[in-house]
Amino acid sequence: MALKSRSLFIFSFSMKRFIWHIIGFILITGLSCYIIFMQADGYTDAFYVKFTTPKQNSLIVGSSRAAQGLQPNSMSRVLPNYPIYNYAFSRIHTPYGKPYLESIKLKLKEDSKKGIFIVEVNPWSICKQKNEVLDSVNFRENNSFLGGVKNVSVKPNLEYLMNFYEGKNVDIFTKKGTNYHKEILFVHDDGWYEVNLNDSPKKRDQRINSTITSYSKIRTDYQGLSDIRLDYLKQTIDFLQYHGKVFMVRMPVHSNMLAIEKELMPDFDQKMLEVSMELELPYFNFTHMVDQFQYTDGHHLDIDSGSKFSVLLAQKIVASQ
Amino acid sequence: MLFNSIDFAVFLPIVFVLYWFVTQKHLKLQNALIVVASYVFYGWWDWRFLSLIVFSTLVDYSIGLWLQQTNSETKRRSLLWLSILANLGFLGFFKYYNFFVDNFVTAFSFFGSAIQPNTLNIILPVGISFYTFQTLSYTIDVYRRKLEPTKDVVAFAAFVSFFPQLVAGPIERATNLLPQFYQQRQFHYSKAVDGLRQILWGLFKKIVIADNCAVFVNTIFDGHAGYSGSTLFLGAVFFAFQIYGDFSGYSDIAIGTARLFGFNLKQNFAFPYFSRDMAEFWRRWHISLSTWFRDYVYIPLGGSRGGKGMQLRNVLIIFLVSGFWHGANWTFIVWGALNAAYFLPLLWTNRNRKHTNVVAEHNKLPSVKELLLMGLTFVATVLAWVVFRADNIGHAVAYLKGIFQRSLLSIPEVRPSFLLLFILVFVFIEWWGRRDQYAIEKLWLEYPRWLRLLIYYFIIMLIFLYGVKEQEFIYFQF
Repeated sequence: MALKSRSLFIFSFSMKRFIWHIIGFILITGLSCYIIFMQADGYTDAFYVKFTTPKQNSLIVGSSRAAQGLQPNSMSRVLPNYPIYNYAFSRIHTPYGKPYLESIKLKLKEDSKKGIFIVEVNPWSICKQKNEVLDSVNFRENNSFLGGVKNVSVKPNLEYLMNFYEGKNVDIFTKKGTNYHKEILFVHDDGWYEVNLNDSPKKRDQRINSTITSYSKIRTDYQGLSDIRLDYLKQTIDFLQYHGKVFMVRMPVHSNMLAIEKELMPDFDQKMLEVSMELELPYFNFTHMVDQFQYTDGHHLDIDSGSKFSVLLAQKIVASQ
Repeated sequence: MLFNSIDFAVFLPIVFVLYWFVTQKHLKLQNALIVVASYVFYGWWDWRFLSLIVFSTLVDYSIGLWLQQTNSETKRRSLLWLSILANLGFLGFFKYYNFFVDNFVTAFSFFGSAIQPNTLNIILPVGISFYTFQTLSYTIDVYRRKLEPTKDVVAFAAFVSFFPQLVAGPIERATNLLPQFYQQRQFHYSKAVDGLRQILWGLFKKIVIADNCAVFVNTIFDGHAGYSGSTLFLGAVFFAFQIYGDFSGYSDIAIGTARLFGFNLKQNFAFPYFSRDMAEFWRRWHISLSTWFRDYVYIPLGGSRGGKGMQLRNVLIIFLVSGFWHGANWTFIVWGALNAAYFLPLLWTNRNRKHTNVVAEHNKLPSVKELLLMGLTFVATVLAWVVFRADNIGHAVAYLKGIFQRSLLSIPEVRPSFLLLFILVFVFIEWWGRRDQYAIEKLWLEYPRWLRLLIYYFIIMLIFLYGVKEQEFIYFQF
C-alpha cells in the first residue's frame, strides 16, 4: 500500500514537472513569435496593413486599381478636411459581395456621418466566374481574409498573420519577401499600395503586353454580369450613403485592357449609369482619358499617374459638391 | 486534422490532459477516450468516412471472435476471406475503381470498341490504405493463431483508430500495439520528453525541409520543359528530400505523439538515404509497409521456399503490389518495377544482405567506398522518384530525358541557397544520429540543459520562421 502511494506521488511529481516545463517553454517561444509578428508592416504583403489601422470616417473601396492608383495623400491636397483611407484590395479578393460589405462595415466608424466614399467599379468586380457557386450565402471570398478576419483594426493582427499571410514569417523582418530586383512594394498607413517597379520603358511595355495576354485568357473564366454582385454593389453604396457622400468611379486603364472589358460586358457603363440614377449618386467615368496616364501593367496606374489621377478625382468631387 | 495545424496544437494538449488527469485510473475509460479523440481527429477531415472505420472495426472484431469459436479449417478460411474481401473491397472501390474503369475503356478502345466510361466522382478516404492493412494484420494473425482475439471491443477500436498513426502509419501490427491497450500506462517524464523531441524533429523535417522543397519541386516538375538538365536533377533531388521529410516527419510525429500517451510504435524509417545498396534502402524505407508485405504477401506466396526463381518472382510481385498500393496510377506501378529492377540483381547474386549494419557504425565519417556506394544508391533512388512524382508515364519519360542532356553539367537556374543550406545541415544531423531511432534522439544529451533547450528553441524558431502555410502530408493521398 505504501509502495502504491509512493508511486502515485512520483507520477504526480513528474507530471507536474513536465507540465510546468512545457508551459514555460511555450511561453518563451510564444513570446518570441509574438515579437516577430509585431514587426509586420507595409512590406509584409499587399493587404496586411489594412487590417491593422484604426476604424475610418472616409473610405476608398474597390479592386487593386484603386488600391494602387488612388493615393489618399495626393487627394488630401484638394480635400484637406477629409482624410480618406484606401480600403481597396484586388480583383480576386474584392468583387462586390457580402464578405466585402461586411468587412467595410467593420472598417468604418459606426458614428461616421459626413464621410466621403469612393466606390471604384469595373466589369470584373460584378461578374460571375465559371463554375462559381454564387448565391446569397456562398461567395468565393468567404474563405479569404475578407470572410475570415473579424477584427480589422488591431496590430499585430494575429488572426490575419496566422491564417491568411501566405509568405514565410522570416520575411516579416527581413522585408525581402515582396521586395526583390530593387522593386518597392509597400502599403502606406493610409492604405495606398505603392508599387514602384523602377523599370525601363521596354520592360514596362513587355509587362503590359504580358498582362493584356493573361487577361484575355482570364476573361474566358468570366461569364458576364452577376445579379447578386450587382445587388451587393448597390447594398454597399446604400450602406455608405448612410455615412456620407458616395462617388462611383471607373478608373482609366490601357486601351487594350478597355477593349477586353468591352468584350466582357459591353453595357457596363450603361448599367453603372442606371445604378447612379437609381441610388442618386455621381458616376465618374474616366475611360475617355486612357491615353493621358501611364500604367505599370495595363490596368494599374503608375505612381506619377496615380498621383495626378487622385488630384483630378478629388477636384471632380469638390466640383460636384 | 493535420499534425502541422493550429487545430492539432489545441487538440493534443486537451486530449493529453484528459488522458493523464481525468481518465488515468480507469483503463477502459482511457481507451474510450482514445477512441473518441481518434474519431474527432479523423472526423475533422470528413466525419462521413468515420463509418468506414467503424465498419472495419466491427467486422474484424467479430471475425476475430468467430475464428476463435470454430476449429473447422474451411470455416476459418471462409472467415479470413470475408475479412479480406470486406477490407480490400472498400480499399479497391475508393482507391482503384476509376483506375480500372479507365484502363478497361482504354484497352477496349485500342481494339476498336469505343465504350462510354462510367467513372464515379469518388473521394479517397484519408488513411484508408493504412488502417485497412493494420486491421487486416489482426485478422490474419488471429487466423494463424499467432494472436488471441480480443474480447475488448473498446481496446480493439482504439487499436484500429489510434489517432497518432491512423492516417499515415506506421502500420502497426496487432501483436505489438493491441496488447498495449490492455495494460495500464504509466507517465514517465523522460519518455514524454523523448516523445516531444521526436515530434519536434518530425515537424522540422516536414515544415522546414519537405514543404520548402515542395515549392521548388512543383515549379520544376510543372515547367520541366523549360529547365536545364542540372535544374531537373536538382528538382528530383529536392523531391527525394521532400518525400523523405514529409513521410518520415509524419512517422516521427506519430511515434512521438504515441509516446506522450505511453505507447511504443515501431520505427518506420532508419535513415534510408545512407544506404549502400537498394536492398539496404528497402530495409530502411517505410519499414512497416515492407515488413507487412513480407509477412502477409511474400511468405504466403511461398517466400524463398521454392528456389531462387520462385523467390525472384515473389519479390517482383511484392514490388509491383507495393507500387500499386501507393496509388491508382501507372507511374506507381512502374516505380515499383524500377525498384524491383534495382533489387532483383542483388537478390539473384545473393548480395541483398551485404549491408545489414549501420554505415560507418564505429566511425565518425564514411570511407570513400561507403560514400561512393551511398551516392550511387541515392542517385538511383532519385531517378526512381521522378517516376513516382510525375503526373503520368509521358511526363516521367520527358523529365528523365530532360535530365540526361549536356546541360546536366551546367549550373542550375534554380538555386535556393537557404534551402540548400538547410538540406546540408539536415543531412549532417541525420548522419550524426544515424545509429538511433531518430536523428536527435540522443544528440546533444551530454550538453548542459540550458544549451540543449536553446537548441530546441532554435529549431522551433526555424520552424516558425521558415514554415510554409499548412501543407498536407503526401502520404495522406495513398
